[in-house]
Amino acid sequence: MNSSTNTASRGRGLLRKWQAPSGPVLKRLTASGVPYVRFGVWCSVAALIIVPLTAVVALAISGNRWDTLWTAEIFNAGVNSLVSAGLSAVFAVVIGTVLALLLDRTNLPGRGILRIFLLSPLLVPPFVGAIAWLGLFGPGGQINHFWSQVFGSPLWNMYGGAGVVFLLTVHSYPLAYLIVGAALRRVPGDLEQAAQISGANPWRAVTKITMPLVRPAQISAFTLIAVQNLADFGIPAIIGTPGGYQTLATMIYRYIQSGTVSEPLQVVSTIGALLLLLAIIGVLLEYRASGRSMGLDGPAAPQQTLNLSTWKHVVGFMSWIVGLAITVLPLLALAVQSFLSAPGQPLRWENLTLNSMTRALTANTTIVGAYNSIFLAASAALICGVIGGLVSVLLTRTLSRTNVPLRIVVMLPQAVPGLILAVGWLLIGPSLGLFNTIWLILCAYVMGFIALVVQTVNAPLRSIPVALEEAARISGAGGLRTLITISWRMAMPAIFTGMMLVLLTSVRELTISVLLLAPGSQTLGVAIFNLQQAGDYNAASALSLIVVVLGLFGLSLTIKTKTRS
Amino acid sequence: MTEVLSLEDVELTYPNGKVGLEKLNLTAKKGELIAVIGPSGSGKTTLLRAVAGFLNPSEGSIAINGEVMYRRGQSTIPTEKRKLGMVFQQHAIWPHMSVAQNVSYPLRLAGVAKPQRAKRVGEILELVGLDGFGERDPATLSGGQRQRVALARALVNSPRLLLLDEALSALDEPLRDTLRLELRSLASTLGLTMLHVTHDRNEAIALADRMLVLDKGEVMQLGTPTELLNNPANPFIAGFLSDATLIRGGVKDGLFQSVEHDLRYAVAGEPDGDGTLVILPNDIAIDESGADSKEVTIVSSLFGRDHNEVVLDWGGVRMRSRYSGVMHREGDTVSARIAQARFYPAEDYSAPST
Repeated sequence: MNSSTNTASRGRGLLRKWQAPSGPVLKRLTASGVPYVRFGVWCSVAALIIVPLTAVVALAISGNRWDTLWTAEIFNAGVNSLVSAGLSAVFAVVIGTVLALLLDRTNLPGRGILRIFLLSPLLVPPFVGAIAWLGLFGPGGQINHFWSQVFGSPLWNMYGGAGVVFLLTVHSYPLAYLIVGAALRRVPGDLEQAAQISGANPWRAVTKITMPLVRPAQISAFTLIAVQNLADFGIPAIIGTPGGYQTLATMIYRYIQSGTVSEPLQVVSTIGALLLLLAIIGVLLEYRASGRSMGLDGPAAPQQTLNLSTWKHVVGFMSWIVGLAITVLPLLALAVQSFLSAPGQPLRWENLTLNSMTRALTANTTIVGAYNSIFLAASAALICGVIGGLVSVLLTRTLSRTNVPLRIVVMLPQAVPGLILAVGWLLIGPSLGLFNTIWLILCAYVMGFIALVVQTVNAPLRSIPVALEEAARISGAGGLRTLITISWRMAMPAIFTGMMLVLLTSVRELTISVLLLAPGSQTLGVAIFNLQQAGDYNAASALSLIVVVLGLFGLSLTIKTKTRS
Repeated sequence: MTEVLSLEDVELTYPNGKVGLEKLNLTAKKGELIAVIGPSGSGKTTLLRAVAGFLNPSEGSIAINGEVMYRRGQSTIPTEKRKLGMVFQQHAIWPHMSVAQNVSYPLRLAGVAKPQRAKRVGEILELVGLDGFGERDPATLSGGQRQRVALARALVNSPRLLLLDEALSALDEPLRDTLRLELRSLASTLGLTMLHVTHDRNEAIALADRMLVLDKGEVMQLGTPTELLNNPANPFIAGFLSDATLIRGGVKDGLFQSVEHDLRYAVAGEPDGDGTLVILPNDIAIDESGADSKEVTIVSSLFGRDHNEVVLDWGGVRMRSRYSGVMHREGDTVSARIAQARFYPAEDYSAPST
């Protein structure tokens, strides 16, 4: 061999830096057939996501109604939106972090069960939560009623800004807890142990070593929650509006419903474009923050449990009281309201009735709403499952320059307030011939919830080694065949979970449905909202209760199937 | 003899400019087992993946059974049409298929009819010692069993060439040893040509008909294990395969003088010039006194089944020695003698990074 005697004479440093090739370079699944799949996915994503968002931005620019942003009405609403979203996100992250530490790292008594209770607001749609809390702190709520009898005046009327911030916080802290808690669990225990060996006590090790490592997760939780709350419709509509507290979301609704301004769509698009801008800024900030996250090795050592020692029972008692008050009390109030014959009545046997329940269930709007919601949710789940599953497979199992833009486009609707998605479809609906039909709502659902499937599927799929597809290629399978028989098949369980999430989310959706409402196309969420707006609080509560109970039932089914697969 | 695999002047540069392979030439005859070895980042996996078709070279050509798989400017034969078998480090068994479904997948794609498929799968599972495991869920198998399934899948359609990518590295030592023996006997019964990438020097020496040692994408030496052990082509090979002591210095009038120490060694017949003195561990005799022996201190000592390994402090030079007999402890002083050393003239060499 000629070259064998020829010894290398290149820089020695290179040897150490040169790593064995791994990662995207090796992902070559680009051959025959796959480009067609990619093309198809791009077409549907363009039609479902890019077109409606472009429509909003285009009308905002061409309509040139930026001046309306400075009218006192909209300006105030904008400030209210920013303040309520920002404050609630800060509170949520603080509470979420404290919970993550208390529930996951300490020896708090009964933390396992308390965790389930504290996560429950996640399962209650925000507008249902608002109706439930009104049963406690509304002008005629049970607690206020009791307080007036004893002290002569109600304890706290929750209508208005403070109530909005409070409720937004209650409905966001579980998400903050999930995000921060997941990050906390990823911090290897040996980092803290190293700090303790160096002389730090356990609490100090947590605050000085672990907490800084969790900061990127806190920032991303903050952004996600702030963007979500920026355009929440149900809570400000039910809690804020009666107290004269308007946000951009309720303004958009009012403009579209009641034509109080000329050219409402252009004004709404302008507000939408503004919200879109805020959302994009938020996402960019979050991207920068997460880019700075430190590289952590896998959990090499299990984390140590922090001992609350003498405080254990005091802290435990307090946590349980607050936890139950926040989670169980409003649901009890919801139940009580469902069975009271009229709002504001004291809780006595003779006041209990099944009338509201029957009224809620037998009303024509409820039946139509339930039928529509189930149809819409099932269809959305199916479509999101197919498109989202394919997107995930392409993103994690193939190598392409278009993957990064594809991921951004698919995830974008999640960062964009649901209202804007609805406005987008409202704008392009007429030219599609879908105006005033239920299909428009379906399109908007799909647009908004594809990201749910992609998120659910990406993580498990990413952890599967590329060698599984390479083994198929070596065995003689072409690109498309590998994609279908190996990648797609392996993604199936996760895709199914993602579809269930879409189903459960869309079956009780309000924001999108209320804006795209057309004759005969009302959903369950809209039915509850309309009952509430019409002043039939008891029927609204009864229907809410049913939705919550069915939702919990559905979720427990999903969890069961998830653990089985 | 037919050449199953032939690589001509294969060069591969990654998009980021890193060199994967440089001017690589290799042929494998039918039934030959070639072990590819080198430090991490040496390009051994790159070579395997280029043969498999997961990566394409930038220059040169790759042919299997005389049929061109890749040549620059010509259309490349995609992986799935190369009729190869491959066993991956992490076995890559498809979790959503049973053992039999995994193994029969290549046959299904090749259009083999169902009855023949079942028969063939049964035969091959028996061959790898998994008779009756066909209906099992791969998740219920042990690591060794999974690797056997992977081997069965790679062998089932009688591949022209079997590629093993660190195929045994993830297994426990005793199991690795068993599979090594089985692989060797399979190779001879089936007349299978194999390209076996490993980072385990002893495994490569034990298994290979020929060994290919790579460093930074370049071939350092290609030859039988005996050739490489007894006649290392350069100091790198001696250092990498045998942990030889490498001393830089120069020769003048038949005497080697180290540049960093006062070590001298007579190298009769070598022309004057700079170079490297290579002392293989087996060439340092311990507990042998004589005119040229020296009292040295033991710095580190490892016990072994057949021979002990020690590091000696030879007047400031750390030397690796392998000897049998009474084991010495750290701090002991023993008499030692350099029985043999080779001088490799000129050329800067790179020390192996092990």
